[in-house]
Amino acid sequence: MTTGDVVIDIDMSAFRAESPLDQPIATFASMIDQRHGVIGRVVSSEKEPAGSNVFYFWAGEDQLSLDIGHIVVGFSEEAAVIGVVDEPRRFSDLRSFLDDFFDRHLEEALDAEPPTRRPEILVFEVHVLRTRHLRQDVVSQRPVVSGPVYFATRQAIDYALGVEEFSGVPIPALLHTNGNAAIDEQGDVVIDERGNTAFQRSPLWLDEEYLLGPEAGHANWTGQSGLATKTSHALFLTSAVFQRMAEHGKSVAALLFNVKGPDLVWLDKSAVPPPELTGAYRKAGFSGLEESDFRAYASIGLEIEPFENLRIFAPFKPGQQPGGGHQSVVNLGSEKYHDRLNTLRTAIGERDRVYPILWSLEPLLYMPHKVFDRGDLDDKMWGLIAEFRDRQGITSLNALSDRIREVLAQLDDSGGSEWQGHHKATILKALNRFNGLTSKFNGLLTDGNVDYGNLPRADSSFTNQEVRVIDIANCNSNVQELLVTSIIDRVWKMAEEQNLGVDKLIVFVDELNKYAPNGGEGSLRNTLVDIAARGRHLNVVLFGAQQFRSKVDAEILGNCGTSFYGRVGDEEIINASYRSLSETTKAELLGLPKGRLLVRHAHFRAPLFGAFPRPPVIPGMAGQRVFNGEQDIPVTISNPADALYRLAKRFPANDTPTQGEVRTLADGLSAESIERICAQTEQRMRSVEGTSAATRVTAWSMIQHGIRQARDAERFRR
Amino acid sequence: MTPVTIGHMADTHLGYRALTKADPVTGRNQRTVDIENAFAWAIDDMIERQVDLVVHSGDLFHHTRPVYPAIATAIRQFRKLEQAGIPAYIVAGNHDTPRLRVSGSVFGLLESALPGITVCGGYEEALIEDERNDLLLTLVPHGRMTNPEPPAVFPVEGRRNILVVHGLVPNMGLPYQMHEPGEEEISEILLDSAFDYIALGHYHPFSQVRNNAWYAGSTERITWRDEPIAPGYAIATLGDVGAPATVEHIQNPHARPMVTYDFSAGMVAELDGKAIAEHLLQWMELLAEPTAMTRIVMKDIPRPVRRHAEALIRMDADGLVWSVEVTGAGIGSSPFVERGPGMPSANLLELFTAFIAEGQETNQYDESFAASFAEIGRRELEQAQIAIDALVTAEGAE
Repeated sequence: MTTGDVVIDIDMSAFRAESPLDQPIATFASMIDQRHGVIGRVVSSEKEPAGSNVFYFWAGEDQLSLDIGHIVVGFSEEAAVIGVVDEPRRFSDLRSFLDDFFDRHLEEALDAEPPTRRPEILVFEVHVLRTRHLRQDVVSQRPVVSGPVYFATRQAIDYALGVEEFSGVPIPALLHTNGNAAIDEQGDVVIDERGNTAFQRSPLWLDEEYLLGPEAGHANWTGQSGLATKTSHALFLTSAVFQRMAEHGKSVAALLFNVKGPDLVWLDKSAVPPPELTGAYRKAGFSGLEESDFRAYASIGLEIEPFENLRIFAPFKPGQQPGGGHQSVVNLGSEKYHDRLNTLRTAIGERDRVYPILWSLEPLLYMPHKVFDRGDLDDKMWGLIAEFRDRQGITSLNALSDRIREVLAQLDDSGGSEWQGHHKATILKALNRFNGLTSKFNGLLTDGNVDYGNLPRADSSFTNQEVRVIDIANCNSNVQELLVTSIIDRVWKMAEEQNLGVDKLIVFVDELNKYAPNGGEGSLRNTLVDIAARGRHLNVVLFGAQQFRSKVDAEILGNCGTSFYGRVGDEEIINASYRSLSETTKAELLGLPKGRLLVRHAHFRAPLFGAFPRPPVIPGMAGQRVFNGEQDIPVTISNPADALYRLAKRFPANDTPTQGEVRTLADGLSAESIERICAQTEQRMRSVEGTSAATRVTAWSMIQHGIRQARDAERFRR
Repeated sequence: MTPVTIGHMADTHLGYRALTKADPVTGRNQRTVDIENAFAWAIDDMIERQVDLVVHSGDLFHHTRPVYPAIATAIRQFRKLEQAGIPAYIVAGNHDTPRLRVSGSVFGLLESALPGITVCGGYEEALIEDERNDLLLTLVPHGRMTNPEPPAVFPVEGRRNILVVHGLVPNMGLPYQMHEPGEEEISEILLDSAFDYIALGHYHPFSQVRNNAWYAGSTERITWRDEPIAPGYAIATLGDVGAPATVEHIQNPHARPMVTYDFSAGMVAELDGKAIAEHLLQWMELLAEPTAMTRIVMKDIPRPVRRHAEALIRMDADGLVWSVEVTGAGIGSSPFVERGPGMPSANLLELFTAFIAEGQETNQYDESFAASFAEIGRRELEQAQIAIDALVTAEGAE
C-alpha cells in the first residue's frame, strides 16, 4: 500500500483468518505442486456431495492443462485426499438450452459474440485413490472439505499407488502424465525437444507380490487387435519385471507362444540400432526409438535392453521332420535341423537360438481326445489305445503299425475276430486313424522314437532371465493347439514339482478367448483356470491377452490381480466385464490412442491411465527384414561369429572373450562350420553341467578348439 | 562318384590270453592263437575281396603294453595290406590307450613299422584325406575322448565323410551295463548325420546303431558276453555323397563257439555229483561241438555237489568239448561282470564317484580338491582294473 512517499509493507497473512486446512497443507507440502499453485476449489452440493470415494472441484479458468486422468490432491480436516480426475462437466447459469436460444435468436446474429459472457465453470469429478492422515496410525476415509486443489507430485502419486506398502519389488508398468510441469534436479522447469513445457511424469508401479504372486497374481490385457499395444506392452512389462527382479537378486523367466509371423522371434534384438545398422533399421521401416521413448525409459529407471537369453523352439516344416530310420529312433543331437525348422528365423548366424520340437507317438497316446475326432473316439477306441500304451508298451508310430500288422496277420491265420478282447474292425479303424496322424500333426510327429540327447527341450526347466518362445505361427491349427496345451501342461507339472528352475515364471498366452473361452471346456482351459487359481502360490503367473475380455473365462479374469485395457470397441464395452468402469473411462477407452492403456491393480482404488514407451526390442517384422535378409536388405548383416560370442557369454567363465576377439578368431570360417561349433559346444556344456568336468572345460576353450578343427576341415572344401 | 568299399574291423584284441589250453603246433596259449588267426583271416578275406581301404575302430590289442607276438602279428598282417596297396586307418581303443599319457604307446611303434598305414593313437583327433578313394576320414582315438574338451568333428559338405571312433553309443538299450575300464560314451553330437559312414568299435556284436553308424563287431569271441554273437567284420560300400551306405557283415567261419548250459536241480533224479556229471556229459555228446568253449552254470546246487560234479566232468570231457568251466549262478568268467538292474553296483568307479560325492555333500572336500581327487582316483582304478584283467587272463593261461 502506498501513501505519499511512505511505503508500508503489510504481511497480509497476519490479517487472514486461520484456515482449518493450514496445518494439512503445510504438512503435506511435498505432495502438492505449490509451484504450479492452486488449480481449483473443492465444491460439494446438495445433489452432489463429496464422499469417501468421489469428490468434485471446479477448475480455475487458466488451468488449461488439467484433464481426465490427472492426479490431484484435495484436503479433509486433517488429511490429504489424492484422487484421479474423471468426468469434466461445464456448468452455466442457464436453466435450459432454450433460454440461450431465445436470447441469441432475438438479439444477436448467430456469428456474433454477445456483449457479456455468460459465467461458466468447469467441474471435475475425482475418484479417490488414497487418503493420507496427519497421523501415520490413522486410516482416514473422511471426504474433502471445501478448499484448494493442487496437482499431485510424484511423491503423492507414489503414496496413492501404495508404493510404500508394497511387500514386493515395485515394477513400473506405465508412465502417468500429469498437468503440472516437470521439474529437474536443479529445480528448473523441463522444456521438451519442441520447446514446450514438459509435463510431470510418474511411473505407475505394480507390486511384484501382487503381479507375480504370492499375494495376488497374473495380468490381463484387453483391446482391439492391430494397434500393436497389447503385445508391445506385455513385452515392455516383461522387460521391466526382468530388470527389477535382477536388481533384487530374484530369478525369473518367461514362456511365450509366437502365433503370428515373426512377431516374437527377434526379441534378442534391441530397438536401438547399433550404429552400423541404423541404415538397415530405417530401410526396414523402423527408425528406432524416439526421444520421448528414451525420456520415458529414463523416467521409469529402466534400461533399453533386449532379451539376451532368448531361446526359440519350433517344430519342423510339414513333411521335413526326420524319420525314425534305423532302430526307429531320431537322434536329434546328431541331426542337422536348422534348415528344416518351421520358423521365420532362418538366417545363418541368427538361427543358433532356434531348437527343434519333435514328438514320437508316445505323448499323443496319453491325450487321445486331442488327437482324434470325437466321433472316432468311442469306448472301444479308448480301450484299444490303452492296450497299446499300457500293456503293449508302444511308443512310436512304427512300433504301433508293426504291432497292428502282426495282430491282423495272427487273426487272419487263426480266422479269429478278436485280439485281447478288441474286435478286428476296431483294430482296422485304429490303423486307419493312426496312419493319418503324421499328416494331421505334420512337422511335429515322427514315426520313430525321439532322443533329444543334450539339446534343450521346449518343456525343460528354465534358466534365469530366459525368454522361451514356442514358434507355432506357421503350424497348422492341430499342431498349434497340441503344442500350447502340452507345453503349458508340462510347465504346470514342473511348477507343482517345484522344478521350474527359476523363482517366477511368466506364461504369456495371446488370444486367451480361444484357449479359455467363457463357458468353454477342455483340458487347456482347465489348466489355465488352475494356473489362475493356484499359480501365484506355485510361482507361475499367466499374462493373458485377448481382443474381447467378455469372451474369456470368468474364473481366469476373477483371479487376475492386474488388468490393462487398450482401445475397446463399442460392441464389446457394453458387456458386464466393463461395468465397474465409469462412463467417462469407457468413453475414453473407445478412442484410446496407441501406446496408452488403462490399468487396474490390486493396490489401486481406481483405474489409472498411463502411457508406455515402445518395447526395448525391434518389432518382429522389422527384425525379420533387418536380420533375416528379407526384402532388399542383405542377409550378411549379422556376423555369424556372434553366435559363438553369445554362446561363450551364456556359459560365463574367467576366459570369456570379447566380441572382437571371437570375430577375429572366427574370421573367414563358413557359417555352417560356426553352427556346428555352436551345436557341439552347447551340447557338451549342457552334458557336463553340474559335474566335476564342468570345472575343467569352458565354452570358450571348446569354441577355440572347434575353430581350429573347422579351419582344418575347410582345407578340404571344394 | 566311384563307389568305394571299406573293410571295417574292430576289437581284434591281439594279445588276449585265457584258459589253460596250448596250441598243439606252437605250444602257445590257444586263445591267443585263436585271436591272431581271426585277425589274419579278416585281413586275408578283405584282400581277397579287394576292398578299397580298411579302417580299424580300436582295441587292436588287448593290453596297452602288448606282448611281442601280438605286436609282430599286427605288423605282419598290416604289412599284407601295405603290399596289396590297400590303405588302412587305425584308431586306438580303450584297451590300446595308456592311462599315463607320458608312457608312450605301441601305436608309435606301429607308425614307424608301417609307413603305409595311418595310425591314430594319441590324444588328438585327425582329419585325413584319402585322395585315391575320394574320402575324408575323421579319426578319433579313445585318448581324445578322455580330454576335458570333447573332440570337434567337421564333416565337409560335398565330400564323402567317414568317422572312425571307439566307444559306446548313447541309449543303445543294452540289457546290461558294459562298465569296461576306461570306457567312454560317444557324444551324440559326434555321431553327426552328415557323415556318410561312422565306423564304430567297442561293442562286440555287429550292429547298426544309427542310420549311418555301425559297429563292425569283434573278429573273435572274447568274453562270455560274446557267446551269442557272430564274430567277423563289416564291408561298407559308399556311393555318392549322402547316399546311404550298404553294409554287409562277413562272419568269421573259424570263430571258436561258446555254449552255456544252465543246469538246475530238477534236471536230474538225484542231486549228487555223479548224476549231474552223467547228465552234463550226455549233453556234451549231443552238443557235438568238440571245438567249443562251454560253461555250465549250476543254479542252487550246493557247492560240494557242484565241485564233485565238476571233477567228474573234467575227467571225461576231453574230446567232447574244447573247454569246460563250471560256475555257480551269476558268476561270469570276465572281470567285467554283467549286472542286472536290481543288483547292487560292484563297480569300483561308481563306488568311488559316490564316495567323492558324499564327501562333497558333507563339506569334507572343496570343489577343486574333489575334482583332482576324482581324476587321480579314476586313473588309478582303471590301471588297477587293467592289471587285474591281465592277471586273470595270464593265470587262466597257465
